[in-house]
Amino acid sequence: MKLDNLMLDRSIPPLAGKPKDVKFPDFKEVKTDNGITILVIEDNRLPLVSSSIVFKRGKYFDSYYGEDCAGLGSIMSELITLGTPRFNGEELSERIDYLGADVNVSANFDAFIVNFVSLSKNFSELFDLVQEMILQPVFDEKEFLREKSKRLNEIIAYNDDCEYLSTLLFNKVIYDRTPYSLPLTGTNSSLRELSVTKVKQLHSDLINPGEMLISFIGDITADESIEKVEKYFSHLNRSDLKSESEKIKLLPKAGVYLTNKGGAVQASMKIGHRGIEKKSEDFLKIKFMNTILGGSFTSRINHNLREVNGFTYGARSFFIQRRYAGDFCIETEVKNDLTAPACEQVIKVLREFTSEKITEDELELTKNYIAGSFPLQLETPQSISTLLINLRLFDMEKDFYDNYVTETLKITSEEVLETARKYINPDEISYCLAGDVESISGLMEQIGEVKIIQV
Amino acid sequence: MNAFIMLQKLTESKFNKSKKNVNVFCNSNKIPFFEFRSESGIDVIISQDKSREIVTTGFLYKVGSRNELHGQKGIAHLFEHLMFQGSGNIPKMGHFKFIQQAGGTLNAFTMADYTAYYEQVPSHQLETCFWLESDRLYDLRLTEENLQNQKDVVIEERMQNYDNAPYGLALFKLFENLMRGSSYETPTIGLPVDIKDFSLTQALEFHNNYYRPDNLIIAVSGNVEQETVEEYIGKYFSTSKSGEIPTLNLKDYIPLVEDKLEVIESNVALPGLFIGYQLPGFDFKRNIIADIFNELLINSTSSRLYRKLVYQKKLVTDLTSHLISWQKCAIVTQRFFYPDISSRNIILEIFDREIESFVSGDISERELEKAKNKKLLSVFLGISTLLVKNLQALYYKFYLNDPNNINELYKIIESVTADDIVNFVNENFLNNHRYILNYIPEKKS
Repeated sequence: MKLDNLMLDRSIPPLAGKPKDVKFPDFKEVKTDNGITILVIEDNRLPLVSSSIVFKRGKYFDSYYGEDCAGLGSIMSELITLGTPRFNGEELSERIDYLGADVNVSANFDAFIVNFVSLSKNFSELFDLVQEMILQPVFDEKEFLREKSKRLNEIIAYNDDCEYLSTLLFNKVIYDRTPYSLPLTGTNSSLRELSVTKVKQLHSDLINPGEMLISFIGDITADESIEKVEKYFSHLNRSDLKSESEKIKLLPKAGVYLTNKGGAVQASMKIGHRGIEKKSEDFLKIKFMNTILGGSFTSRINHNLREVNGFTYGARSFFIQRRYAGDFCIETEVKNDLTAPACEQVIKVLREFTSEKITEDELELTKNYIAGSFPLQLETPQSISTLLINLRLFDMEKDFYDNYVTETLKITSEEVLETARKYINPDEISYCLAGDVESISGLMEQIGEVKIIQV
Repeated sequence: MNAFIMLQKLTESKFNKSKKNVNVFCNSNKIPFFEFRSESGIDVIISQDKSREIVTTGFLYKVGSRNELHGQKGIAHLFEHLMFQGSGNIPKMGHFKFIQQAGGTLNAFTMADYTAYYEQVPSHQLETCFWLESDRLYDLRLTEENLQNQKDVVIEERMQNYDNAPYGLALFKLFENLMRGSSYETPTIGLPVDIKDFSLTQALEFHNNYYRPDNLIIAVSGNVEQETVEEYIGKYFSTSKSGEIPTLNLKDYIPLVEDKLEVIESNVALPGLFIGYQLPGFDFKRNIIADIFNELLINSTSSRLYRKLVYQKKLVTDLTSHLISWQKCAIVTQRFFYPDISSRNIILEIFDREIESFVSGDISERELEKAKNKKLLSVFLGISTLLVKNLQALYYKFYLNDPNNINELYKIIESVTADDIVNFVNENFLNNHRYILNYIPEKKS
């Protein structure tokens, strides 16, 4: 290296600007007479329109339809795309592709979501197809059987994946026998139980305008958007709002749980306990606290397991917050012989984190990160729409994002410790591992009595 | 990051524009690029977009696993990790801290042909990115301890994404057979035995050889003034490095002389079938034709093979095709998962028949239009984020020496004809040998 720039002294970092208080972008929100919420974000930089039609799932868990109905919602989602009075599945997919469009229907624990996008010149035609799929699916018996057998094969393939197995195990342990304990995709036994009749029942329960939300994003105006909703959905009658379920109370389940994936050279680990539902006054504080613990690359968990010990390619923690319950989970993948040492490190980090205040550096860093990166979350109209839909779906405060930056900058290290103590309890931890049981169970006995569970 | 996935993202999103009535690729709405070369030899690209308060930077070094010597497989990617382990004024992991402090995100990935580092920050924090990147270019500090730690991390990465993943080593098999003899024979993640042997001296030498201003392209997109970028380049990147970049002698693969079928028993639940063909090196239009062909054949639910194999015959549960195109050579691979172990030959038969039908039968206007529309959608979705737009500018600068090729994508997609598809099939499938890899579940004892 020669001719170094003599004027430059890199030992002084550039002045870091303070986070700017960014205004949440403009959007329009309207409610129709029959109760549908419409959100519109106009943005004509690209010739695309995307839209989401969301149905709040309320209490309609799969288990509402019978003891062993896991997978019902997700099968229904698949079938939505496979036939209307006018077109069969093959014809629908040909039409969607021809429009340069993409339609994705999915079910999670809290909602059914139909996301679709197309070149803007084709959007009206696409919307017409999608509304027909949603309102008039034929739920053909043959398609149902085909989908079911495809799903059974997919489950066989999933069972190859340690990460999938450890997630099943963790949910089974933490959400013990509640609706959240069952896999959304269904199980071998539940899929055999499902029927077209149940699919139709779930569908008719769902189509309730009072629990519907439609967003339009991109190269489309608010008037055009509202007109479409009026045209296709104004005839729907609002049914009496179904009574919402109670919050689900979970019990502590501390222990060591293993499930077998013979021959695996690495184990997938999920370490955690019960958590908190989505709508929580501590939502922002939990996010803040978890960012320091395991929610970012510089977090304590990743720093310890990856950068100090070299045990893993990566490790992270998160709070899954659903409508009626949630969990706290640390996840990583390590070689078989590092399973017990990694557990010991995790518990050490958790004990420190729940007994000592974070450093001033960590506090400042996290404030700057969470508040400062807010503009990045608002980059595309799609990302803005996702933020809005989540607020509405979980009935969170309307001004949540208006106060996001100022509230974040107010958080103190005392509050972080308080939040950590309130939501993390090292004595309640469950260790859920999927891997080669023969190789890891002996080691894991050092952590606690091992229970082997089939998932 | 897993190079395979990243590649898929790049090929999926790398093309561009819209349709008839669409204004984006008209002259007035082209994505604007301003380019210059710094005194120190850096190619700099600036693309202003003031619609948001953010800015993205990308630093592409023209070094990847293709530059690795025998016995050093995996070094380029390991080295990407080492770039985060500290430099003269920045401690280990400092990049993450400073960028987080600025409210930004960052990452890096290694490909066969190049290695890229990128940051995205609120626009008033841009200088931090230049300062950080400059420090590790001019003043990298490595220790034995950090080297050892990152070797462990990379070996865990390989285990997670390849050794312990179902069909995870298929990529190695495909490259070993299709890229044999070429500079691309070993996937970027490399070989554990080589990674373990890599010394600190070799690491420093690698940095000296390839991490140089005259081996670097920088792209900046977003809410930024051209003068600001020029000022930062002058301030942080005006120093040249002595010495020379080692000569690169890219080697092509040895062409297959016959079809080959390999069966592997493995701990997988469903049988998997991988078919691979060799193609010549990077070709802009050919790559677009390949993407459109893949749409027609496999990659959408209305494609010919999806309808046949999944919908009508119910033989296959999941299938996909994708193109890997490096500078010197390319391959196209199809992948099928199927439940019944006895259906391999019938799947192959149907595959061959459908390929043949592109040449013997018709490709209708509507079918071609459909595949092009799909391609356009993915192009638009890709460039809807600054990050991808900026990486594509780097990509086209690197492969075609001009980021403006992004602005040509729409025109080229529109120009593809049924004859182009027929020629593509003839050249690369019908008159070509192939390698077939069949994973079958091992017998449980």
